[in-house]
Amino acid sequence: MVRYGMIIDLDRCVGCGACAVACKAENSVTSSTPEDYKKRRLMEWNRVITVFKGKYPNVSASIMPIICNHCENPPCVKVCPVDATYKTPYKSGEAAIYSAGEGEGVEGGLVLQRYERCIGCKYCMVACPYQQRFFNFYEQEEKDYHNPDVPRRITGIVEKCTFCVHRLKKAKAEGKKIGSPDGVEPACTEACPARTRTFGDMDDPESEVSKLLRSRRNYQLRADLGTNPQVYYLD
Amino acid sequence: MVLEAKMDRRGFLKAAGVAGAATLGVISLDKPVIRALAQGLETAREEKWVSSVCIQCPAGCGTKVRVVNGKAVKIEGNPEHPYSNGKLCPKGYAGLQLLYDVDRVKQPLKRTNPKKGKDEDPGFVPVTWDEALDDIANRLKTIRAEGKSHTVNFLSGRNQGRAGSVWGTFMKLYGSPNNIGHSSICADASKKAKSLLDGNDDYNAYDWENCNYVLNFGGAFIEAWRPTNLMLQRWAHMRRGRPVRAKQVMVDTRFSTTAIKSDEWLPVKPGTDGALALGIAHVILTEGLWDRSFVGDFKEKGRKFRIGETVAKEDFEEALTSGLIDWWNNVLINFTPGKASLITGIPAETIIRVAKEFATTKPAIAGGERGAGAHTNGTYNHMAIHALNALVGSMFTVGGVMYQMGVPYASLSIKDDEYVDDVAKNVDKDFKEHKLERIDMAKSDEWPLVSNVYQNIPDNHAAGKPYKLSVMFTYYTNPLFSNPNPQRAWEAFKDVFIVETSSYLSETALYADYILPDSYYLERWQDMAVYPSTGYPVTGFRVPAVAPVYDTRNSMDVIIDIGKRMGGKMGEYYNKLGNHENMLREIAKGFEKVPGDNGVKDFNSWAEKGAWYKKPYLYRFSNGKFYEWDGIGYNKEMKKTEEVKEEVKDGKPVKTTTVKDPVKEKLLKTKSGKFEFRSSKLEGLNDKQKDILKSKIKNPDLFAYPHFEEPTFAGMGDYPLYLSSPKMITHAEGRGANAQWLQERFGIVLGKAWSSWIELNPDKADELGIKNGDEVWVESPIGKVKTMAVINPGNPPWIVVFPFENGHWNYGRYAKGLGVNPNEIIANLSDPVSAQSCTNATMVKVEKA
Repeated sequence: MVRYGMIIDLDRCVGCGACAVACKAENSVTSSTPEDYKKRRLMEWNRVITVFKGKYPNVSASIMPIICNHCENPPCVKVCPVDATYKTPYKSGEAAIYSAGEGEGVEGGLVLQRYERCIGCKYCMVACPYQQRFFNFYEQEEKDYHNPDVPRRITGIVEKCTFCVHRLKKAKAEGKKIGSPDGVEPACTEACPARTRTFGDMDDPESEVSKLLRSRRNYQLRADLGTNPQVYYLD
Repeated sequence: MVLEAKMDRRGFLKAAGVAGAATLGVISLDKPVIRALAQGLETAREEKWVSSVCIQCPAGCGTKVRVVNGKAVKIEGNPEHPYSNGKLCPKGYAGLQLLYDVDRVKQPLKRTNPKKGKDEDPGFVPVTWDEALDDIANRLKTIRAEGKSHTVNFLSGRNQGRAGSVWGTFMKLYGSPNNIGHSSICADASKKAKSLLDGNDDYNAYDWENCNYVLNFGGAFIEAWRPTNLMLQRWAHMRRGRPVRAKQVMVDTRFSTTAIKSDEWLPVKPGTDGALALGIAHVILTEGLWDRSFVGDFKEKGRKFRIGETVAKEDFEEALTSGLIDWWNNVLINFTPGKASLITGIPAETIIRVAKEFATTKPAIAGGERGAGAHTNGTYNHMAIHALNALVGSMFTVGGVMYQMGVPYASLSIKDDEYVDDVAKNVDKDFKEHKLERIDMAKSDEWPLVSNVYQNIPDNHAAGKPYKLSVMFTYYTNPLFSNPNPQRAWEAFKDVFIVETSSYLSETALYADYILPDSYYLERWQDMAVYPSTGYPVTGFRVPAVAPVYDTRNSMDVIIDIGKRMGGKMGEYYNKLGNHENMLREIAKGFEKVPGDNGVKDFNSWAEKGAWYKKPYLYRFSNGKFYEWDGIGYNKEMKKTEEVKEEVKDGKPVKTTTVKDPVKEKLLKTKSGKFEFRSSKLEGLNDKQKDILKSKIKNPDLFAYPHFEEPTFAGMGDYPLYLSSPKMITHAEGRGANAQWLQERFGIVLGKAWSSWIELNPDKADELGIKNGDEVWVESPIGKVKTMAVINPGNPPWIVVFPFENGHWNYGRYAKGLGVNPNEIIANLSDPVSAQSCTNATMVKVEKA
């Protein structure tokens, strides 16, 4: 069984946003304009928020990156009427209908999107308690710098973080290791200058993620909702 | 999760989906979603990773650019470059959007509308490179023939690598002293402060990896302190990457990202950082906590400094410092934590505690940049701050501060000095004899110690004092935008012939008579020795990742090309020089003698790896002595040696003894060869220079010491709030407003984007009747602008924070008309010692619009 997860160390995070920009670059996520932004249509598969407590002179703040949590019990998958959003199996080879191309053959419990099925009803966006699913309001412009490894998404469908499944798929095909510290990682993990993130197989007790989870106090976002994220935060 | 094979709606769609893929494929083959299905049908792909160096700030982080079928599709940190280590800050990735910006200037342009102004259409028409360069060369030749070559100005910003020397040589051969950089609108106060105390006119390099206590005065450690990418890495390492966690103390006027993440935030009143440093110095001396191996000690062991008590010089024996007792007797003697508290607003108990922690948690570093420096007392603030490093023994130690070593490039085989004709020689002579001044008056008696006074050029030109400029070349700089009170330049530069190299329609480009668009950094060759940080030398290499997208040329080659058309000795030089790539091949020969740690030994290996570097930093102070690296360890003591030369002069034997002091030569480059608390450099100014300096400060008797100068603020008394204009981590030096990826997440902490804004304390906002998101007028003695107000719960009530980036007249569709430029309400004040532009020294008032 393979269960890909990510750990985000909030003590290391310096609030720089490199993860957010690297993700946009790697996944060719449509850039916004001021009008999009005002309408809250900014697409941020990976975003960084700051939460303030108190005010001067008794003030503190927490900086927190948020991504799709690739929940073990994903509400988005439950509500999708057309089975566009799905979770890859934990065991390689287990029966599943992958999206043609995207995610094919990659196990690990990634929550992915079959873009060709999505009807844009946005039910999944309502269901996701982390607000990490994004609707394509506009036709994605053809940019010279788009990454040829990721599929282009059309207007009217929903997309989100894939744990850079295209990288994982390539790694599998090339027989490369997957997971921190020296295997293939998602773009955000690789990009972070503060080494905030760790990615890997949580079912492998010797993986970096497993060791880190055992070593420090950690928690999941909105654990009370029963989504059981595969993304953990360290204090 | 199990997929049930019931024939319900879901099951039907599932089955249909599998079968439907094929039919969908037939209907329309060019919809992008179909490409998702057809993932397996890829055509042959040519892919490579090319070495380069990011240009969005001066750090010089090495990158690797992924190029697929001739298009750059990703920029990542180069694992081989010691500043990147495979990482980049957010700005680095956005290079792609700047490269492929469809609003770039796509070919050389000539202005047809003689009128210049904010609302004037330049009437640009395309011209060929030859037309443009011939015209410019002819104009320059005419000016030179008229004896006015000194009126040509070269103004630069982000000079990297050989760029500085290409322009420098051009001006030298042409005959003009006006090769002017922008560092006075950057952070010169900190550099000059260090030069006055330890003789090094540079930013410090820092051994953050081993530092255990950071006392940071206004340096946005994890936002904009350069080299930002490496600073982010070091921060995380200091907090979580080693057994001992470093303490971070942030002294700042605002609740910045760094303040949020630091252990302690000391919210000083603007411009008072120096007072805090002096209060801390006082405590260190009165508590007996100074480092005796570096500073020395009282002859009477155990004796400490006592408040109000002068010390006789003979009672103290200084080791590697000088002037300590004078400094104590004249400045620190009564500068108690109580006094510092009154000035700064930081409680005295905190000052005492922090001082004790700083002095006893070794190694400790006192640092900071523009926050403390961009004030009318900036240099004196930084002198007080840097003096702390000497007091606690952090100079050149493990975990302390040092200076960046130079890269051992080979010299060019062709020496520009041999091509200086009489015209140029005379100009240089006149300049050195002060018969001719620079347009910014740097090196004159008013500004003897400065590198440049960028911000005063518009005023000087407008007044014709020292003279009027004829032609101005601009390279990676935008004086009509980045100057404080740029309105002065909008007016003043209307009658200057401007040759702009920007490939983006900046304000200065819109005033240009010619635009000779530069290729973007991903389209050219360039070397890039890093911004100071590691101490050991590093230089990155830009290899063209893609062919120029438009008809642009590397500006260095363009200048060389103009040079070739100048005729005379100048023309000879440039024809021999050939092109910029030749220069790089020549300087790379230096690596044959000194190969890098990763094997880089020539041009090709440098291009392949993307970085040459050589560890370690060669010098170390430990156990009271200076040592040099001998290949195995810091074992070679750097001792003074005496060289005795015996020769025969006029038939008589003459003995000359020269003392060689390697410490003075390489590290403490002052007159005394020590760290000077009483600056001999300042005392060595001539009488006229001293008089001018003393007339500008409030404590003229203390002009040679780190001391507290009360800061001046434009509008103080009439306007109630302090304006601070910091840089965000997403801010790419005034060249990032057209990058969507940066604009759409511009303010990480407050979550604001695609806008300019001012930050207000919540109580102050309530007082002014302003809610989060309201439009407000921000007014200063210079003018007023309208922007959005945002509540930052952490900021003190007396400060208004106005980040710099937006307010462009054009710069492409994403930047045009977006937001306002805080510089338009910032007064042009300069620190009298360093000429640092005081961008934090304007008072404002805020009103709901």
